[in-house]
Amino acid sequence: MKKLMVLLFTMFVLSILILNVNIFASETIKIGVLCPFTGPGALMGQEGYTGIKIATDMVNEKGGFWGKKIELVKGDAVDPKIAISECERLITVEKVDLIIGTFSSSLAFAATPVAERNKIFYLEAASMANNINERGFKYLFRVNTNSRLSAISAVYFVRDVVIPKLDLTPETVRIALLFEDSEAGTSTGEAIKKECEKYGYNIVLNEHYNRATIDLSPLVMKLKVAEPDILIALQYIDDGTLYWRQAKDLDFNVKAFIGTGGIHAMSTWADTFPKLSDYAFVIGPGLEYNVSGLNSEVQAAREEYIKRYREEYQEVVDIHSALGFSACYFLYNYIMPEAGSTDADALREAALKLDVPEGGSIFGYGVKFAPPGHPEAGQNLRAYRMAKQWMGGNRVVVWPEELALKEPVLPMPEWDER
Amino acid sequence: MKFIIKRKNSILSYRNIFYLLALITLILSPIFSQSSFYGDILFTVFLFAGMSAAWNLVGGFTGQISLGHTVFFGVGAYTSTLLYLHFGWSPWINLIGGGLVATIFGVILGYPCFKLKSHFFALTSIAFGQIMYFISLFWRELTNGANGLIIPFNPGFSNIIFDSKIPYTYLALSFMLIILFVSYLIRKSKFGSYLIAIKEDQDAAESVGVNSSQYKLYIFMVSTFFTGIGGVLYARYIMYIDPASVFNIGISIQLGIISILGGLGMVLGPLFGAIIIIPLDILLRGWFGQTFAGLNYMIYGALLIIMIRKAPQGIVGWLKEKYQPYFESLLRVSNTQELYDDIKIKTKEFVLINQYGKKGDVLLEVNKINKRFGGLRAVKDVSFYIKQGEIVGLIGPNGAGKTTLFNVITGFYQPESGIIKFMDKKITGLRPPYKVCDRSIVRTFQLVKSFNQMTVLENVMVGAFHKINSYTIAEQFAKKIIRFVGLEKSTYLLAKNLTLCDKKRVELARSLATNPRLLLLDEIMSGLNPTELNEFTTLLRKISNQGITLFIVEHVMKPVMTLSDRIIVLNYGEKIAEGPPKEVSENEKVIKAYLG
Amino acid sequence: METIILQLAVNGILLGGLYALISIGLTLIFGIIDVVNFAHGEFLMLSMYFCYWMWALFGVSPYFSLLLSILIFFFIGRIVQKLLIWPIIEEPMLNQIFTTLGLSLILMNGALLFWKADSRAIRMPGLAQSAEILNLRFSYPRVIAFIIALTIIALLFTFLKKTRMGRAIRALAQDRRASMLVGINVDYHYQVAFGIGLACTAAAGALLIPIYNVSPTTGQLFCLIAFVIVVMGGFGYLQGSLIAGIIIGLVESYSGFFLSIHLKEAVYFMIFVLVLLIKPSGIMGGKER
Repeated sequence: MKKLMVLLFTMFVLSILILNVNIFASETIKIGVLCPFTGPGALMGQEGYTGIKIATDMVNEKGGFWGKKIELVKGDAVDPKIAISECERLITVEKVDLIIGTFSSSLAFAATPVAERNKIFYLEAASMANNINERGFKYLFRVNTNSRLSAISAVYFVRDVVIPKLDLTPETVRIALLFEDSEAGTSTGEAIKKECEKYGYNIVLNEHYNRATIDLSPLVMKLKVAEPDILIALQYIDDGTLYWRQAKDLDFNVKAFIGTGGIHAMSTWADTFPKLSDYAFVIGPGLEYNVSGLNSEVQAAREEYIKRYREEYQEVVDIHSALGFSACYFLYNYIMPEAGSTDADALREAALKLDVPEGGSIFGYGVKFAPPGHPEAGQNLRAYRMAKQWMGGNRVVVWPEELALKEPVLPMPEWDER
Repeated sequence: MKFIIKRKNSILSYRNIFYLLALITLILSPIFSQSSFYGDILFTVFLFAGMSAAWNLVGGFTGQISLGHTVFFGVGAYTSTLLYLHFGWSPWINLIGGGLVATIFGVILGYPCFKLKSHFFALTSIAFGQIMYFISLFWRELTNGANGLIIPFNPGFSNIIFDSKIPYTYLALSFMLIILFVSYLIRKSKFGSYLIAIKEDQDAAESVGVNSSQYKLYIFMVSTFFTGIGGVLYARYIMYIDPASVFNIGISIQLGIISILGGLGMVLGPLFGAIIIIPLDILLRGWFGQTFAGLNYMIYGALLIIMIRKAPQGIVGWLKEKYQPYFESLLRVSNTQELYDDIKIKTKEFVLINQYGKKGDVLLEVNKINKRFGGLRAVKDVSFYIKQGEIVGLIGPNGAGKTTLFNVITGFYQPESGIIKFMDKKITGLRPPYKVCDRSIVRTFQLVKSFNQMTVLENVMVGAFHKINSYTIAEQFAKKIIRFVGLEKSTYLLAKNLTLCDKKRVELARSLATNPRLLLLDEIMSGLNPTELNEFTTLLRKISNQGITLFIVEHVMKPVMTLSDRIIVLNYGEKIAEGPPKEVSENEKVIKAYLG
Repeated sequence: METIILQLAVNGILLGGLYALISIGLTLIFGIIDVVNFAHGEFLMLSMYFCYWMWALFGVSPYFSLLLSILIFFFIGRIVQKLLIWPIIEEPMLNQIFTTLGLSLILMNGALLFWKADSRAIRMPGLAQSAEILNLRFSYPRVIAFIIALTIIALLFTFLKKTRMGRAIRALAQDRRASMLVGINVDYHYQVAFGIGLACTAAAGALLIPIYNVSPTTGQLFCLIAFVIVVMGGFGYLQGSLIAGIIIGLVESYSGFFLSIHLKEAVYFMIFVLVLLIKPSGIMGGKER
């Protein structure tokens, strides 16, 4: 017992000393990566990091920036409170020059004010909630879509493709919304509801549920009664799997199922349901599309990224990894070269100046950040999402037309027929 | 000799200097932490030490394990944030507001649940945490659901939002110091003694007049009040709250772990616990978090298991064991001195404060009591009376119903029918048991119930507090009673280290300290050797001489025959004989009952 | 409309069967050994992982792994009882609670360490069917789980009532000291009881994996529900768990449909609290403890 105490105490003292010593003088550019490496979001954070790492490796192989290599420093944001202290640590102890994060809305919320206060440039790669960017921060920039832009993409798809192809009209179509109740689900769900209402669609069911639920059968029953044509949803792995199984058990069919992220954007979807996953759509950033619209640099970068990912990790590229890579692409190819240094104000000016057209990133979209004064200051207004359809275990981009590799197949056959 | 006494009481004793230095270090620590990273650790340490100390009041002092304190934390956080965002109230007011609302929740949730046994209470508390989580997710109009609430960054003293960590850390430090101080005050008071008695043995506590439900509720209110304030501080610090982060069972568990590690029921326990756990948590995550995700929590869990097994008294308890003897040996000498001095000042032999009633009045009247358990009638139509000043013995073979009758009289069981009157007032079925003590009836238990983790003095003080509120006066009175029963050499020893005979004396002393009119003794002589039996017989006679009426249930024949004025005999739940000892011992029915 | 009402009932009852299944082990252990096993959910999770790996690596159906799992966890149960529980059996409740909590942390994070946070699902196309009888749908895996839950309860009942060991265990449940006095080897019988408890939990895991995904945190989810069921049904009463499970299943099914899916968890927690306050000994519990 005594020895344990002494040991603990010594460990404590030693670590304080060690953490304080800055062994590496700044011969490197230090970039903090703040995402959940453990805890409930671990999957997304760990994958996101792979993309960031690949991008960084590619840059370092070419000599880095201004004679210095880039060094990634991890910050494990398990929950909002820890996200804050990790952000603190990255800034004050590790002395990073800028931060990339966060792969979770609640974590981003909590941590970004810390960076803002310390005047550190924060690049958000993948969080959905709108209000992350609605605080008028100067140094926060988000490259991917927020819920509002995602919702717009989703509903455009419904308006331009799904409704016509199902021989329905805006007056007759019946839409059901099913969203899990964390920030991503709530904000996406609300945004989609708003967009649908804009076009006057009939929303027959709008439910949020807690994803840690053990049973969704009452919900499926409600859906059966509501008889929607189209179901738009955001579901994660456990609840998405449960829902799909129970929908089959209870024989609930829709003509079009549109996921807006979560499990439907992951390879897990097809792994779990080799045949039954077919015909589902997912709205999200896509990698497998008609790349002829991309400029050649981006095409090359995309291919290189996919190649490296497959070599090191697995066959199917995880979307979070791609989000991480994409954010870095913006950073390393557009922002940092323009800025000339990692000074936060320089980065900020460079970011605000950017005006990259369509085809300028691996997800197909360009970049133009909302200027100060805009309610979504710092948001990439050019970000959008594609619609992909699952078929035979693969996702293929079916919309927008310019990027589509295939035609979308509608309606979705009933359970027995799949 | 006098010099030593002065040493102990003087402000400059070693102990107090140590505390002062520690306090100064604590106060200066925020300034010396060079970076806000350390400020963050310090803030978290102080905040959690404080909240854990609040938890400790209920879990450590009173033995009620709550795994739902996150409810009060979250309620405090949400209340203050909502008041600030919607009504613009000053956060300083919201500190109290958050605490109060949390207390209201504490009353709503605690009051009905205290009747539950420990693990039921723990489970209920977990359930409440879950319910609050779901409600806060669902009630989006109020709480903004999963999106959470953001507090805009408007630094300023009046907003309790600061640019640097240092003011926050001082705020948390003050918070912690206040709670520790309150804990200390409670510990050294009637309130605290009662709480620990409840934890040690609720039945014994009730028998000396402790209204356990009421005290549990009070302490729960104090605990939840402070936990709520902790939630408010957290909200001002992080400036973002959402259901998952504030209604989180992990918080409840952490508060418990900190107190366990530091020392349950010890005032400083939570501080030590937090100093170790919080930095350890951050460090482990830093070392292991990325490469071996989860290893840090595994170590946490293992630490918990080991601590429970090897050092359940926690760090502070361990320190006390190691170093207290140092102080004790210094103190023991002087304390006996003090005792002698004290006795010199008040020379008279111990005299009970209030004498009431005349010898010979009917004190207790038992009329046709019936008690059954399922199909078994344990007590059948038993009637008798006891007069003021008498010593009445109750005997009978095993299973005759003696203890059952006792339990009925003292409120531990409800009879099916019959009336019991004490001082001409009905007391049948008077519950909970503490009310019986309020009527000046006190009992001892068959399996001796001493408060094992308390000293003899503390044990007896619990009884003394029934009529005395001041800690010092109760202490003096208790010492007198301890001398009366012959335990003065053991005054500062822990009850658990005493012999059986001495433990019985402690129980007796404790009961006497409540100044009873009627004392019921449940087989107090069992397990004593002949010498001890003689001592006890003398002692009981001494008590009777003070004017206290005794009702003794006994198995051991000789003492009860010697002592009693009158004997009642029970067999198979019925009274079969009553009268002076000699008469009863020659009664045929009685002989047959014992032998036949 | 009647079809809907009836289907909700079917759903609720089958769900209730699942609930009862996951609670059997817990109520048994608590009823006999008087220990609240806060790590209950983690054992369930481990069993689910075991069956998952048996399927992923060897292609074995969980219904076969069930038997193996039961055996393995029986022995694990004996070991846990001997090493962890027995030493603290006389200690205050607090120590028990935190010891099993510590165990829960270790097991859950051990799973995280070794198998990462990924959610695992097995694919058994043949099983993902449901039968349609009288216009009502009955999902195969759930029906199987329900039937096996009933079988386990029946078997346990017989074991406890009729066999010698069962009677010894029941004696222990009543009074530990008295049993010691009449020569029952408490430690050994507690081991057996704990082992059986874990074996039942293992069976539950095997039956759950065709229906639910498993990840290191899955146990927590089920554990809470198990506690609710056990308290409602009465600690130690097997039939109580079944009844309580079905009641909760039905309540969930109907409240989820008519009220809000979001609130259904809150609903049954409130029921839980009400039961605790009104009759803490549960539906079947009777004796004063």
